[in-house]
Amino acid sequence: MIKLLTVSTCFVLFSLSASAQCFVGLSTGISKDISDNVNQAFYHIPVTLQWKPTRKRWNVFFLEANYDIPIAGNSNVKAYTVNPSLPQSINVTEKVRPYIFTLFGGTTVHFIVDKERQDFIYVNLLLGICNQTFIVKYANPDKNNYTVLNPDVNFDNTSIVAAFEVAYKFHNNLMAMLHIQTGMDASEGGYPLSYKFVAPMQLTLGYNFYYNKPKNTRRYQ
Amino acid sequence: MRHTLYIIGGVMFFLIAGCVKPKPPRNFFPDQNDPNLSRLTSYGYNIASNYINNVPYSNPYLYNGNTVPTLTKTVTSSPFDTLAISWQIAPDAAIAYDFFPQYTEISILLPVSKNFSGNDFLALSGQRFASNTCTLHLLQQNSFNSDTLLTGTANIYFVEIGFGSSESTEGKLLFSGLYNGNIGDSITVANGRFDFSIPINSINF
Repeated sequence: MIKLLTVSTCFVLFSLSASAQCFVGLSTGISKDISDNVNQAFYHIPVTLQWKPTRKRWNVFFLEANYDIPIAGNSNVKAYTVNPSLPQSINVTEKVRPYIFTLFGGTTVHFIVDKERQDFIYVNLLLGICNQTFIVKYANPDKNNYTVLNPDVNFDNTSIVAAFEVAYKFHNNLMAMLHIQTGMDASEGGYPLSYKFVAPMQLTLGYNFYYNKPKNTRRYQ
Repeated sequence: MRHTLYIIGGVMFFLIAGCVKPKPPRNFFPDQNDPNLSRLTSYGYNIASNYINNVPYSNPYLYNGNTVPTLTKTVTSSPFDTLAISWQIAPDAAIAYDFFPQYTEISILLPVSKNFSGNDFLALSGQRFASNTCTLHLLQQNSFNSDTLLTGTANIYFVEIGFGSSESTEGKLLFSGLYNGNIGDSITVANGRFDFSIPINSINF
């Protein structure tokens, strides 16, 4: 984490390449949790909005908002009853849905792949504030009689995260991006939960809307 | 002279501060489905809670933490001995303490063989015992200086029994589960759950 922060700061200070246009980028795709969650495999549909508000060539700063909509994360747990007329235990489906919202500020470095076709790769380094809200539901058919052992509960926390992105811009405005984000450095409270904070790895496809283009210049210089 | 006293006082302060153990946490994590009861856990939290005639009760939190249960085997003259799990209870803190009658101790008694051992207790993990086997004892406080022992029937389910492995539970026996019971038709103990840890050397079998 500290290393990532240091590297990120160095990039902000010493960025050597830049795009000369402002743009708003919108992308979506699929996200997988790469933290060490063993009980559930969390998958999300990420929606990413990027905004590069400046035409500066040096120390390019941009903002990114990232919302991850959960699509999977079920596991089976046991519920027990002391009622002698019922089976001792049943399987109950536990649905954990982590909703993740992150606001990033970062810097970007561009590498030209094909100047004529205006294709290029850019590497983004980001620091942000991430909120993760876990909603837990049990599909318990008989709550009055059956009790789940060590149940998970809803949880919400906010912390600083870092992220690394590699994007490929092609066909003028299309963009494919790989986004890897650190887990959250935050406490999960005094009660042990079976899930951990999510560290999403996203693969997204998007479109960049360029605006405020400089006159007599190409889109990328 | 004054400086010497200051030094001695300072040294004593640090010695006492070093000897004082921090109070263990309450570890009462409320169950979303059963208001004012703790969750069913198996972490050795020494927490137990239940309703008695719809009033939530749990084991009290005193100066040294949660009150711990006693697990004892009593030798009887019958073909079986008695295994008793007992713990103090108190009404939920949100309810006034000065109502009567209220209940101050709960015990669940099981008949066990004469040679019942610690390994036999471990083997109870995952076993459920019905009211035709178990006895419920409730100590009812009728006034500030009058108690009555009430006897009824109980169900108990030892969901997990094992040895502690964490720093706080090492050398302890952990047992957690569910219980309910009743004393005739007038008193119902419902939705009981326990998560206990006791030192292994405190067991008399």
